[in-house]
Amino acid sequence: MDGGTNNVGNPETFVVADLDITLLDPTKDSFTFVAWHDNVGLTSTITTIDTLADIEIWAEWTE
Amino acid sequence: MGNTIALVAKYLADPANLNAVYKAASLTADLEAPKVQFLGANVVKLPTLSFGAAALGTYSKSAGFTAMDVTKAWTTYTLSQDKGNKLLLDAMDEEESAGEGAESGTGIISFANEYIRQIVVPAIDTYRFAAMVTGTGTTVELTSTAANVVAQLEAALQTFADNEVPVEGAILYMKPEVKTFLQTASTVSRYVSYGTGVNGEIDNRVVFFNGVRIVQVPAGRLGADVQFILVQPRSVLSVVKHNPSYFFARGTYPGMDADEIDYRLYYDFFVITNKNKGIYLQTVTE
Repeated sequence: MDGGTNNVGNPETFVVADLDITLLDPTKDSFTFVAWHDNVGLTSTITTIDTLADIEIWAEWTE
Repeated sequence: MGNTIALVAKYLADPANLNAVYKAASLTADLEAPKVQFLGANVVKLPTLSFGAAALGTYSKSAGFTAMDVTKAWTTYTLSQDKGNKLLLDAMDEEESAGEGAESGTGIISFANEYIRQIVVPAIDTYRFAAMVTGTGTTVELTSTAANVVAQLEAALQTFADNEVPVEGAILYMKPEVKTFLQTASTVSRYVSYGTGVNGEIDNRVVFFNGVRIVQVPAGRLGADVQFILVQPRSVLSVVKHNPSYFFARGTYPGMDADEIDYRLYYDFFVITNKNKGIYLQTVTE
């Protein structure tokens, strides 16, 4: 999260019945949320979780 | 100055190399029992204690204690699997197939590595799983689907609990088809990590079930009808007594202009008779 605070509406776990899951915006003081990405290089934007698999996502911020 | 006599045989530069290949490729290496010694013999005997009555005796103020008979029997396990091969690579075959500048001896070592992966390891794993199928204390015939696989695995764990078999350290060997069912089961939770890992790889592997480690095993090794086997390693005796690999460089082996590796594996695998409830087998419905 790079110092940000996740939205409480974003899940820690999910089952197949929960799909598709729309990701909600996190917050961070003095920064504006840009997008979620499914890679640490922040090159692949993701707005929903639509696959039955563990997933790791990163928040992109701008000052 | 004394004579310098080349040794006829020498170990590989890294004698643990081939064993490391075996350890990495074997799916059942975790079942091996390093503390069991067969030194000086090809048998080991394990004791079994049995008692004359199942119920706890009643103390009598007039007659005192109730006698409890104890029988100690010994079960003998004899090593039977003495296997191995000789691998030869002709000097010219190596030179003409390895490319310019290839270091002498590297060809035969790569052959040996592949030999272990393709021949040795599958044979050992298959033998061990067959022994577990034969020696299991619990067998159920059910066919797994994505809808019922979780319940079937829960039943296996419950059977362990009913039989007082500890789940800690148990291993779940599973056919790929069944693991796919588990991965797509509607009640299995997936995890979302928020930017805490070191890479962004999506991982859909289910590697644990209720704390029990899952090992995926090709059907060819696990057995055609086997869906999964839940094993408590303390229920089995898996021994590798002798596992040498000897390297003979060309010019040190009489009669052949070739590099040679001799590989031997003296091992066996037993289900401990009085602990066979530590193996739960599910096979497809006939």
